[in-house]
Amino acid sequence: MDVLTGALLAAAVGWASVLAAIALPLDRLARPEHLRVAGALTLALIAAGALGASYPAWLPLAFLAGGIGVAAWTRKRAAPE
Amino acid sequence: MASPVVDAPRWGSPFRRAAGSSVLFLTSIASLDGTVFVLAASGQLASLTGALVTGLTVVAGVGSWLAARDEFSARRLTREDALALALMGALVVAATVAAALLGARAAETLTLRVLPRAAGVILGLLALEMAGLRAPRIANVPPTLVVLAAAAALEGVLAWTS
Repeated sequence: MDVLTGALLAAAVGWASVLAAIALPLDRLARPEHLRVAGALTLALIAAGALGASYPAWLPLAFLAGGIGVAAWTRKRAAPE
Repeated sequence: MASPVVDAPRWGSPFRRAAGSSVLFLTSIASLDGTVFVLAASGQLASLTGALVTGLTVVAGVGSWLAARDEFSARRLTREDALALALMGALVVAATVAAALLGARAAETLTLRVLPRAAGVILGLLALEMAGLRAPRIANVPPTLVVLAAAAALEGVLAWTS
């Protein structure tokens, strides 16, 4: 894939995720502070990759999805009956 | 006699709304502070997975998702909101593509040795900020810009001496 396509795809996916966040009750599904930790850990993983760490290319996406899942699960567990 | 209030369309307001939006700031900052430039230069945007990861963690991400919820989800979206969102989307796409093309051109013309590693440091700093830790600032300049400027200077020196 060339860089132009990659950049267009990254920007389109990023903006689509912002629109999805407006439509979905994200802050009710998971605590914002837990979501921030999930995002920060994913960025840290990508940073480690840029600094030379080796892992499968799909791992950061799985990490982000897993982090959001854990954040939603902890919110659900903590929610009053 | 009081004049009647006319609810005429205000064409400037979506622009003002977009310009003052923290969502626009959060989704375009990676293009402006050199993160997208460095990622493109290091080949991250040349693969489908790399582009998806960049879109969901660097261009957008948890911070901009939460800011978008705060700004736009409290009430029903108006026409002005929709126009502002479309305008911001166009600006984010344009800024991302411009930064990526500049990075790719830099990688074509220079042998990059420092900038790809600087991407790791910049992303690490962004991770700290997202986690709520404030990275140290020099003269109020964002640390990502300081790292980018230092890496670019070092890259220039290495290119000049080799």
